Amino acid sequence: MYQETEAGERATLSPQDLSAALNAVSDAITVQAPDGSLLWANQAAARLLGYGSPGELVSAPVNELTQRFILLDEQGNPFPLEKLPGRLALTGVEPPETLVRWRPYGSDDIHWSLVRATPVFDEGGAVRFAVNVFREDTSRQVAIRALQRSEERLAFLASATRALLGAPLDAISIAERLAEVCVPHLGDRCAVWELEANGNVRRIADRAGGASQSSLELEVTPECVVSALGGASTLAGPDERGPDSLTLAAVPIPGESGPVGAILVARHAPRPPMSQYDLELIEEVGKRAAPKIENAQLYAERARAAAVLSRSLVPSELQEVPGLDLHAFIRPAASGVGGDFYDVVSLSDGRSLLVIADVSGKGPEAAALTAMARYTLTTLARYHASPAELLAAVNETLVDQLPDGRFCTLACGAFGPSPNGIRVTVAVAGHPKPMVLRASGKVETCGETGLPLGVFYRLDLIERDVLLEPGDSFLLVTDGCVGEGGAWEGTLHRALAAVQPASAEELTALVEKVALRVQPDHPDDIAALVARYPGGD
Amino acid sequence: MAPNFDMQIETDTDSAVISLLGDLDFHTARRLREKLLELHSEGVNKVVLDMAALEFIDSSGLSVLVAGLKRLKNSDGNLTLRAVPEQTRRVLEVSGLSRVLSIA
Repeated sequence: MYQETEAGERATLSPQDLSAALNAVSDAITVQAPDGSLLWANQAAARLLGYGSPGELVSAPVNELTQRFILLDEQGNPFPLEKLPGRLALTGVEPPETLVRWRPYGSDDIHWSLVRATPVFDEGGAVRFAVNVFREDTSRQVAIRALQRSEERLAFLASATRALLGAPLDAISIAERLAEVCVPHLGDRCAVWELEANGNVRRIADRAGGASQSSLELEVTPECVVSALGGASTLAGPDERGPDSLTLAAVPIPGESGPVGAILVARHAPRPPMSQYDLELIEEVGKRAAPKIENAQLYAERARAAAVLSRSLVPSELQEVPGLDLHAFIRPAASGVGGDFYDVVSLSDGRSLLVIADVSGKGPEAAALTAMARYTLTTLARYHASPAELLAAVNETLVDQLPDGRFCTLACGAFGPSPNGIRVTVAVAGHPKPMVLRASGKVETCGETGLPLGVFYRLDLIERDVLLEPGDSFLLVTDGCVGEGGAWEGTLHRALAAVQPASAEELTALVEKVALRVQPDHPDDIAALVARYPGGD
Repeated sequence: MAPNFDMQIETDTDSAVISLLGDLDFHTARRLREKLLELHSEGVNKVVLDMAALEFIDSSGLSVLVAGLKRLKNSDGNLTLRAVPEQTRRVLEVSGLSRVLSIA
């Protein structure tokens, strides 16, 4: 290729005039010799590259120039020197305009330049020099990138919010969603810690992904996570530029009254280190997760309290009754603690009384009344030999004690010897009637329904006897097992009739299974107390 | 979830008819309790609960009936249930409360 060097030139312009004209151009212009050294530069070039004058710039050694700057491509990776447009032009090609990001060594002052290089050939076709034109593009590129980042940020936060919205109400599931959101988008590893109300700290999620294997050791809670659990975000590293180089971002998950957890994100080389911007993004994710984690903690706390309270309503171990195989279960309502209880107590004549009861209403208040009813019954039992008399006495106490319409339904059976087996004296106060599963598979209900306890002073329960023969079982259940008004009593009867139980435990398991099958989300308490009479001696 | 419950009330000087709709349970029983208290304080001592459109009643609902019954009896009044659906009737029987509530 041959360039017409005289083209367009008028005789009136001297070389000084030309220089002056090129110095007036705002783009930086340099002319580079085939060996890479500079032959000429304009004022804008000297300014851009940090020299006092074009003369200073031109006389600077080539390697000084290349060592003064760090060149990066659009993605932030090191820019290979041989791919610079000027170097390419010196090989005789005319490279496309190239966007170069650079900063002076030791400075954070980032510049963007659009670089165009054109080779100029001599008559023999060899490259005489290359002309580089640097067009300053920093403010435009910064604006474009800020816009891209804010769009990315919004999209990322929207995806984080979506992921968290769908998470179940337990801290571990929420933490796992969080980690999925952060890896690999923000880092190669994300771990989440929970700070429980009692001060316990536990790691509840840990996810690795992305390009590099994370070598991060998390057996001991890192210092930066401890700080985050105290409310302070930190961005640490990279310590060194090497294959193991990593940045760590640790942020709190801020609850209403202090952190409820912390998120740690690690990003390894060769990905570029995380920036303050990434840290802020993770903080935002933490803020979005905070109410979810807090609710999960409250919910777990409530469930724990309900379980403790419910356990306190029933004996930790059933009193043994000679000749009977006893088993019981209670399952508090999914919504919290309810009012069911059961017990085995001794009457004044030495007979054992099996009791199951249900105080109306739900929640801690019902549980407190349930405890009161249970202890009243246990205390009064030693003064009475008849179930109906005992319940009349309990009723009098409860009428005075139970507030505003609350009542207690109860069914019980007193077990005494009989020549042919066991005679059970049954009393029923507004409760589902006891069931007897005969050895033959026949299911009967027994007892005479009377008023619940705690409604009126007069109770007047009627006792009924039922005889248990070897192989028969006696079942006390609450309405969670048979439905309001015995809505699915028939289902339970059919299930019972179809088994030949070898133990009382087998029957309680069956009752529980039927109740949960009918109402999988079991909104009511379910409890059962079963006595099986194996017979023989 | 929005509670599926509503009441329609017609009052006279000392009597009222409350028609119950939907579920009278743990979440909604409080509303009937408060209505009964309010009517009682206004001197109404004969209350009829129309249960034709009542779909469900649990022990919290029964508690409100018991509380209302006790209060009205204490002031020489009465609580009467009418148009009781079959399922509710069974609940009242199992709970023994059908013995003390007037069911018309």
